[in-house]
Amino acid sequence: MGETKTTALNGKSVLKFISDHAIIFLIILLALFTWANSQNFMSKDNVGNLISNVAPRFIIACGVSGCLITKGTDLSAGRQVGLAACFAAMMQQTLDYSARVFDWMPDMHWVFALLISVAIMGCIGAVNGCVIAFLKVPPFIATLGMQTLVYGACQVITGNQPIGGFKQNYRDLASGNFFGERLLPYLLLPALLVGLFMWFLYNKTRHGKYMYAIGGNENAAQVAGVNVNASLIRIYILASVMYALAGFLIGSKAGGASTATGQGYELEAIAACTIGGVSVNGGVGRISGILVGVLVFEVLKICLQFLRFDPAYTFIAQGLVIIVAVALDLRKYLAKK
Amino acid sequence: MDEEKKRPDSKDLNAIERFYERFRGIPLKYLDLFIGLCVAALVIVLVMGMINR
Repeated sequence: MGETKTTALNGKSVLKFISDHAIIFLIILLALFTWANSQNFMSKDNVGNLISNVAPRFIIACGVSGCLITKGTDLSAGRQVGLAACFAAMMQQTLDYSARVFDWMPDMHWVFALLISVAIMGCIGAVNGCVIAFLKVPPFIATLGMQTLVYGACQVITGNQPIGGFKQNYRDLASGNFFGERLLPYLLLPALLVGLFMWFLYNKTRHGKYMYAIGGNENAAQVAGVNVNASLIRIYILASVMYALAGFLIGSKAGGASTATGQGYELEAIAACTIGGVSVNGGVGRISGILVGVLVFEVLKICLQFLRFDPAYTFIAQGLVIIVAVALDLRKYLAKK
Repeated sequence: MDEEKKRPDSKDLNAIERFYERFRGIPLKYLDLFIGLCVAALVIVLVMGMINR
């Protein structure tokens, strides 16, 4: 007869649970305080806006999570998002717009623009993966180089000019709502699909098992027959595909794109993953946790905006949240070993 | 002695783990204290932000 493992609910375990999730509890308290002090905080408009902000960031964080689980990282995420947004923007300008980047560009349905962006970013992800897997360059260095490279390429391609003049159907992708309900923005659908897809990939497929195995112990995974190099390349390609999708949606949401689009998103995504329990030591991480991590950041930002904080205080608060997240990760690492 | 044996070989560690290993000697209660202080600092920043808005 199997032995059932039970955890006694005592003061110590409750205290440990609270300390492990201190940031999440604090953000919930802050949200409740903001709600009590502002009538519009829980309005349909604001919650819909929160969902629209969370959706692309969640997609980026899902991409980064694969890299983190395999003890890697992707510092080029934000710049790839920016480049994808610029590509999508260039392909979705109206034909009569006076400042078109490429006059020769034919009229294109947004689906083709998305597919082209995904293909280009996928190639960048493959380069990242190959450099990390075959050349054994530390992911931090490889993706830092790619970040600078992509930024430079983006400046060259766009001529350092902001891109606007989008077609209406492209703009509607981010600004529209299902059934005219503000609580159900169109952006919810891609985020939901990506979340379900990533959950399935991480939990129900061989690729997901290999990913966690590589993160747990790369050498042991290799000995057990896992093709580590192929898995790493797939992970970085998938991450870049996610950045392409996020960039495409961010371009639509912003109504414009420039070389500054996506700046710093990689650090937000890594911090959100860490808050959500994805260990930078690899082998650990869940999609639900990533969503919580992204929500923590976005709710914090929205609360501080509603409370009319000086933006300087917002940055200090975000910095402290990141420090606490890393300290909690360090604590988990030391307690585990 | 036993603690030394349990330590993973540094060759098997990545850069982040090697960095984390530097904190091996610090008791967890001090780390908890640090986390508590950071959360307290966050609360102070939020209060100050509200006062100075």
